[in-house]
Amino acid sequence: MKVAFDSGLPFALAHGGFQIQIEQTRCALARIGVDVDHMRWWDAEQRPDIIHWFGALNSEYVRHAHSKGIKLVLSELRTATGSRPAWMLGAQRLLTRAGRRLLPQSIVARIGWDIYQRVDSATALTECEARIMRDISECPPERLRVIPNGVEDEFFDTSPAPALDWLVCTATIHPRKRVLELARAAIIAQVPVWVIGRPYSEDERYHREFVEVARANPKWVRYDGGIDDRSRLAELYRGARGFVLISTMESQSLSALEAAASRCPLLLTDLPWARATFGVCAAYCPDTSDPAILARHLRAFWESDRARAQHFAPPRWTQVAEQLRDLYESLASTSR
Amino acid sequence: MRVLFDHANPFLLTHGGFQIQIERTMEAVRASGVEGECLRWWDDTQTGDLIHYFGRPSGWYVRHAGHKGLPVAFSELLTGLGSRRPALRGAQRLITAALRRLDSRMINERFSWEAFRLAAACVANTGFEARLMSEMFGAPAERVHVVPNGVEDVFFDRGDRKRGDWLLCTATIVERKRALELATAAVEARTPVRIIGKPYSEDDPYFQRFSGLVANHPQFLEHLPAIADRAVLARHYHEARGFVLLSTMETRSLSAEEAAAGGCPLLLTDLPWAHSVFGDDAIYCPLASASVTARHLRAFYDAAPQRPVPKPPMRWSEVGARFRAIYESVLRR
Repeated sequence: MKVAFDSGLPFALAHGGFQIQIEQTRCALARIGVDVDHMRWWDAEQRPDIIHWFGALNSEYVRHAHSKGIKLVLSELRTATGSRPAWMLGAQRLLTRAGRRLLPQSIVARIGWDIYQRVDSATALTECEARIMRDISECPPERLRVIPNGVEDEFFDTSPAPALDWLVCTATIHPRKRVLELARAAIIAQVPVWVIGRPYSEDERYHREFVEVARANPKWVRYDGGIDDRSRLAELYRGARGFVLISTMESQSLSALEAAASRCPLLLTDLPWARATFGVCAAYCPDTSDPAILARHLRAFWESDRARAQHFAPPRWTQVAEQLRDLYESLASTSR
Repeated sequence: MRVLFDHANPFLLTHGGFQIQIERTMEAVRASGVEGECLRWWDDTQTGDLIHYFGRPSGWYVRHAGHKGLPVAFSELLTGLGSRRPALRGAQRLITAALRRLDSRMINERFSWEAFRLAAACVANTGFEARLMSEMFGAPAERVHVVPNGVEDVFFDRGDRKRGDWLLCTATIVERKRALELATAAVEARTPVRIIGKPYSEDDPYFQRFSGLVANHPQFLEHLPAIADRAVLARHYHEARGFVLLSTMETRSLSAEEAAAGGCPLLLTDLPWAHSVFGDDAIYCPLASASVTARHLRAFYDAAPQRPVPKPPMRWSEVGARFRAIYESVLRR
């Protein structure tokens, strides 16, 4: 059984959690003996049995893959949709279902509203994303699996780490992650926050503004860029007073899972993905950019008794790979 | 100068004119002295000065490439749009303009119209499609370029070969190319036609109907699978009585230009792309019933030996030089 990974989002253009998810999944699958390769668009000689596509997919791709006898697994992040309030999801559900039935098939295919009925299987990271795929995208439930992100083994290390009197936030420096708002809240709350991450581009105004705020307030905001050494990052999580992520939307934050594996207390935006993943094992702050409100929650989290926090143990990548292998094997053994 | 080539649809899944166009363009660009490599989506260490995308990239793609200092030029085929009737195109233009004004994230992502506005260069195959890029999608005129397909040298050198009695059609066996309709018309018109090409899948019912018809009429129909050897394919063009392509839509048919390079008379569907490329050098057939098509086929068959030789198309070496000039102009900005 040969599996090929494909995606329309080149890693050279944007780093982030999705890249780590794809890379770690591939490495873990290879470790448990699955023959997995990357799709090379220029190579007409590749012969996969299954293509596992990451990202938004078009109908033509599915049609052509099926005409070659290749099965398709779709892993799409429904980040923006999953972060919408219930009334908006309800409206979207009505609109999408009506559109799918009333618009010409060519338009439906172009918008991608028929994708979940065409692919052989789809995976969701959380139950709330699965619900979106079932209710809005009308994915047949028997083709849908919830397979969460995994965490690298380094983050489960329990050896003691130097105590760090900082809250840590690991995120791309981008408005969606609200790191600038977090920095402003940290200054108001007088809570030290260490932000770890890179921007997509150093020229972005948001990044420049964030750097200025960090430079002007080194007592409350520490920023030295990203950390590539995963063991070092795991050690920081183990020693940190807490992990903060107040982003506007997420599918299932890898850095929050890594922090949780390191038994680091979590403060997250109160969004469905976070509740679905961590439940009572995290503290939540409202979905707002208002630094004063954020500061209140940050201060309360800083002062809370972290020893009483319940711990959440995320799966390791090998466990994720085992679930995917089962999925691939079940697809390989069935005909369309 | 290093160019990264990218494309959304793996060649493994689709063969056809666009694959040949991409492969030949990459070769031609490299032959013109530009360093070019295929973009490996999983390789975050890959670097370049510019991305040449075949197809239409998303706005996300162009914006993020811009963040990394990589301008994007893209070569897009507007095959379906370009083959629509003017009234339908007019309606589509109005709808597109209204939807673009909505500035909906979902619509922008799915239709990728932003790419025309954000990209450093939009490359069309014909002047007609270049105009559509600006009129329909708001591509700034100064960033729209026309670069036709090239043809390999082997197709130009006909030597002293004599033309035979068979008309030739080279096309993927798929509804859009209307090989079955051509075969039906050929039987009715009693004109021999040789069709070279393969289906996307041999299980495709359209292909099976086509194969059945060919098997029942060997005196008028011959089907050869795709020919990889370009010299052998060139010989088929050089020895054909005429070339026929009755497809419902095209951007700029490579096979028609390969036929033209060898001086083969052309019968094409009456569509804007064909007039834009061949003008009076081809004969045109309306998109019509088998009996109407049969009449045009018969008339073309009888007239082909007296037809003037079409003007020769561009060679790939010239295409490579044109792309190099576009890349240089983008990087100078």
